[in-house]
Amino acid sequence: MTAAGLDIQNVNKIYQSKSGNVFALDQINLQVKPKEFVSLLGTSGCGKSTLLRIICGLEDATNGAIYHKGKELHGPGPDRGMVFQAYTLFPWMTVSENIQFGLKQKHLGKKEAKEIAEHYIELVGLRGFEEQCPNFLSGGMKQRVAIARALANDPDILLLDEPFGALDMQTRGVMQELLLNVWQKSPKMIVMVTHDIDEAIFLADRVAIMSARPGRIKEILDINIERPRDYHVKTSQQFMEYKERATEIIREESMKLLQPKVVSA
Amino acid sequence: MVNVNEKMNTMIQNHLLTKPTSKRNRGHKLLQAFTPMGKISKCHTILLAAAAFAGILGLWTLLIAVVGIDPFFQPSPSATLAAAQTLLSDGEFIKGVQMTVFRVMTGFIIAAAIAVPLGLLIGTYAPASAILEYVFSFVRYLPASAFIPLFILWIGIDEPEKIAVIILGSLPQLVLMVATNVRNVPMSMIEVSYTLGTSKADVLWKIILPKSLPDIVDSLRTVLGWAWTYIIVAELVGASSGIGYMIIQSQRMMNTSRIFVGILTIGLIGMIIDIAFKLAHDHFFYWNKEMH
Repeated sequence: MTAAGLDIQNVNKIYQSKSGNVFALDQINLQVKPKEFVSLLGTSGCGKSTLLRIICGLEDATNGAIYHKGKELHGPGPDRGMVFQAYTLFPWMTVSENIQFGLKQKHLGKKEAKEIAEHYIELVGLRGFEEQCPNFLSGGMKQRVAIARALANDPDILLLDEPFGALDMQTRGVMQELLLNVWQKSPKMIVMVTHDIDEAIFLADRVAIMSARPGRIKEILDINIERPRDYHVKTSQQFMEYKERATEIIREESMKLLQPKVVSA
Repeated sequence: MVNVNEKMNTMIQNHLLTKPTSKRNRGHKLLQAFTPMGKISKCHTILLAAAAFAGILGLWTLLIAVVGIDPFFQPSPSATLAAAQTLLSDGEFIKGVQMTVFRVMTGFIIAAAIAVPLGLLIGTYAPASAILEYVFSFVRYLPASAFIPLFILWIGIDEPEKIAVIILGSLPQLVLMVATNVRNVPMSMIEVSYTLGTSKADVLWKIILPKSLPDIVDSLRTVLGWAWTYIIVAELVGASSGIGYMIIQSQRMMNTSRIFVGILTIGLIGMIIDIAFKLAHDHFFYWNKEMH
């Protein structure tokens, strides 16, 4: 057990519905070290986003507990930053104000908040757009602001819920490199949910592959690809081997879901 | 990487800054505007809107001249204009208009001052909704105009009675509309604010109110229109001034052209209010437009 990191212990999540109980998460155990990048990979409906929301404190686990730095987590807080797939920028604020939002909640001085915002605007390559409103930006730029906003608040853990899921392939590739670049400059624990196998392997130190119904962690792949990584990695032999392994597991799971269930009379 | 980004940014910015400025093919542009949800220039908007009014005026003149409707039932545009000139030279009419505007605005501002906070509470907190939503659903259907005799009995025939009619007519509607506006704030926006350190108590002021404000202002605009219909009804019964009073007096004197002036004045004031709301919207809530 790592006292310094994140420790997920025996987490279950059961949703009650009219047609019966849905086992969304079953006995999830996972430890993440500080500054480690872990991807949660799985087909849609495997509960990976639910797990991330439980870590974030936006939902409660039915059983089990999550510890961070040895303390049990309850409810959301600024120690865990979150970036959603949908654009959640505050449209009435400028890019710079969005990034400063968390700092203002901490009652940081105006000058200091502005300096920090400047730093992250530079880091995500949005110089010149500080005074723009989010609705006038492209999808990729919006997500850069969202990442900068989460990072500027200096959380212990950055949670990413398919942050590039709504972007086109080319933009997504650029954003992945940007995220790696940012993470290498200011390393932080990242837990990222994705259904994109390439993305999961390319970014993470470890990939936790999940099965569906009930959601379980089926296998954890250690990605021993040297850092810093750039897009060339994606065509390397090593990458292909990881990808093949991950694809096999995911495929097996997808097939299972496609098979018609035998309904007992 | 950063270098490429900067280049991209300046390119995008240049693109944002340069507006398409070709003044050729004006007519062609107007035709292009006829695509579904297409855009139209300001100049064309004003031109077409003015043409619509001219059309109505033309149709009106035609009805009188060609079909030959008795001017007693339907006064001609020129007769209406003449009636307007006499009314305006009198000074009494202007005072009446001011009175009506004062009543509507007072009633409406009181209603809004109560309804907006209540709507925010109902839309945000489920218990507040449980307590109040059905009450307002019920009150909303109580006909405000049917309360006029009761209000006269309870409050009298002075200004408070007319203002009370406006409040009863607009407050419950507004409460429920604001509650709906508030519910349209995306949950993920509230959730992300928690992860940035906003407390549950602060979310209402820091996220929900600013995000729903453009929609709330739209609701205010709609309900203000309804408030205008209530004031005229209130002035038709037991008033000694105002546009409604003038209309009912004209009925007694069988002066249809004056009734027309009263009705058209209300239309004109309403249109000015709508345009003012639209301009304010464009100015304060420009950020709310979705570009992508």
